[in-house]
Amino acid sequence: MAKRLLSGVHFLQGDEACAEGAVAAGCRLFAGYPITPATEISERLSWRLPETGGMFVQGADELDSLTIVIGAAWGGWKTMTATSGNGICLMQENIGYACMTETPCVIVDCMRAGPATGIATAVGQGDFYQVRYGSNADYSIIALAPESPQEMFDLTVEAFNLAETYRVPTFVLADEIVGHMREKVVIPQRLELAERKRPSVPPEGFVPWQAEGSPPVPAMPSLGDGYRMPVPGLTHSETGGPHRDNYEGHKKLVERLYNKVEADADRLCRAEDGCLDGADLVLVSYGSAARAARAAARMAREAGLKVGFSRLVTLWPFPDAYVKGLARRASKLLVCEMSMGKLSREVERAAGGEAEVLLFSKPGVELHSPTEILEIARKVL
Amino acid sequence: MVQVAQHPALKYFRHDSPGVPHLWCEGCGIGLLWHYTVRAIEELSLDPNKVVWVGGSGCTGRMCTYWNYDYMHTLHGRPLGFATGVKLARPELTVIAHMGDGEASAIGGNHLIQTARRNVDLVAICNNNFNYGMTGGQFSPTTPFGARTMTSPDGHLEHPFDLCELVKTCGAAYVARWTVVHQRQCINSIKKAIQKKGFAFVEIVTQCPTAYGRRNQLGQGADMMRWLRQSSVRREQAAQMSPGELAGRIVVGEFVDRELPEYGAALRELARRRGGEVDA
Amino acid sequence: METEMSDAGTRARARPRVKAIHIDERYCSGCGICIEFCPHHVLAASEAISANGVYPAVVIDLERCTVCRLCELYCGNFAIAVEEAGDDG
Repeated sequence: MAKRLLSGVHFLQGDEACAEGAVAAGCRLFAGYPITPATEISERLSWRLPETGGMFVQGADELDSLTIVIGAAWGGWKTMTATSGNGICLMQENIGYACMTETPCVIVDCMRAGPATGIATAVGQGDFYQVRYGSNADYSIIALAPESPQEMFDLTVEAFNLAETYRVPTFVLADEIVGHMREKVVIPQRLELAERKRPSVPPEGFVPWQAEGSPPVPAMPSLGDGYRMPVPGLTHSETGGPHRDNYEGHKKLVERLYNKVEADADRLCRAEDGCLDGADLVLVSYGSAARAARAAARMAREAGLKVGFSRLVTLWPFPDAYVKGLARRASKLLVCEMSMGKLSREVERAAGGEAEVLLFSKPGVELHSPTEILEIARKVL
Repeated sequence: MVQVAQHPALKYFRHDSPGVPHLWCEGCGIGLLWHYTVRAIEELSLDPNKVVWVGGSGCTGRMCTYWNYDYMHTLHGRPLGFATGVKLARPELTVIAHMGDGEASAIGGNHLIQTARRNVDLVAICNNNFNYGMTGGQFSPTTPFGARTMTSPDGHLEHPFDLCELVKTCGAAYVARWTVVHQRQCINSIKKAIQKKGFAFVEIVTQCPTAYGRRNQLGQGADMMRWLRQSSVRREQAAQMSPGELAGRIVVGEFVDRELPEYGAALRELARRRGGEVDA
Repeated sequence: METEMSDAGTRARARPRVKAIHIDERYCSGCGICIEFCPHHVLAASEAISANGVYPAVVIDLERCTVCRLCELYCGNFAIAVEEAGDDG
């Protein structure tokens, strides 16, 4: 059997590194549909999974793919799909179902320029809200944003761990540049992997949807393990039976599904920042745009301008406290994103008036250049 | 009150869902189909802990919620997708998907044809009552031409699928159709479907007296079951009849029973060829 | 229509005899299918309305029952159970 963890130094495309992260994390089934710029993830897994004792399924479409991913997760496996923004659109009902049934799974969104078919081979960052709020009604998810092939590996592994811990679909929100670029990727000798909590009591004593621990999630048996497990899409009681017009029961469930992730926003916050000392302006971004922002901040400092940068890695749950902290340190936050203004709305909300929030928007295709950012920084300072 | 004897289906029944004992209307055929499924499982001496029911939406979708063992109550039209995932990860389990007619052939059409084409080892039971019952009785892709429903008050303009022909063409291993009046045949076909290594599709035509029956003056449950019995004609006889003679008839029987390479087995074999072992 | 009998209800040689037919009025919806399809007219609609507001099936001639169990298989509400004489439950 081939090794799941290819320890060593590699030169990999972002998509390839993502696939390796999945295999390293113990992914047993991937189901996906070809779509630029995520197709290479499918292609690599079509041979990496069989050779490591897993399965690759090419779904009939993105929607089909995610149903298979969710079903196999209930068979006990770690599972993943990968697509771009248009595919996420098709998956929305299933995303909601995975949230309601607290199914651990990883969904990679390699964003491209849109809307609709847009430009398949060009970058975009327009799915920021879609992954969080695209399905019906209220729920929570986790989304991590890599900025390099190295992070495509690391954050895919992390996504599996978080999905298992929080029993929630976890997104790797990449973009076309990160997905298609090639860089050095170091795969370590060992990884810390998380596994879903299994029942500690026999079937007779098991209450299928009773949450416990921190985060508050129920233990998850696999189908076929003898636990008579009800997996309902309907609002359900702790025994799994559907509620009918029961406000208290519905409220209890929705609040738990929502808060199990949102309440841990601080704990889940991952960000990289620099040049923050005495900064008057902080550049806030994620993904490939952050590479430009980081360079711009360094150039600005060299030119004597007090500019810092912050790269958000955890996008959801949104790191409110962290962003407020930035807003308290600097008088202005300049959000650089490849969309008409989505991250900027969240930053503005979280800043709570403690700093002026500005937006440098480029709605896809062209990445911000450090020089462009620097010019704008000069203007606003 | 001590119940001296209870109906045989109740041994497997989960009393945690609304309705007494369930939410289906008086005279509905779904309860019968529920019992037939359970009878097939029992007659094959299967461990119910190793049988997973997967449902989607609507009245038929609720069948799984009364199964007192593992079930997945999924999304409208999609049971076969979820069922595929479960079966690939746990090939030793029997996975049974119950779908309504609209569920299987409208919103679920693509899942139906793809899962059949892949020949995934699943039992797909389609409860065909000619309409979307739960939402009040709108037409579906199996509603007969000219029928009245809530969305075809002037008579249905479209022509229906022959679901068995459709699934047969897609490459399923077993295809059969009965009406719910054919108790023994239904149970036997479900048993065959369970034992078949591949995609096994059983269409069972049932009565929906509350919606379809009422709109088309077909009477109550008992009247509609009489109608189903009278309308049925065996495949072998139908082959001798003209299209005119077959109008309004329901052709029943087994249409396909063959051995074909199965999807999950093929994926496991691929892994072996590449040096991996899926069930290690 | 052919109706093939299940092996499950028959014993070797002896003709099955019914002990009782139980109808659970909590579940019976009065649909009349068992009454209609019983080949031996064992059942009829009650003249008294049940707590559910329907006329449930009642046994009118137990002697005629041959334990064919068609009523059980055709009951969509799982309301009827045929107890065979000599059954251990």
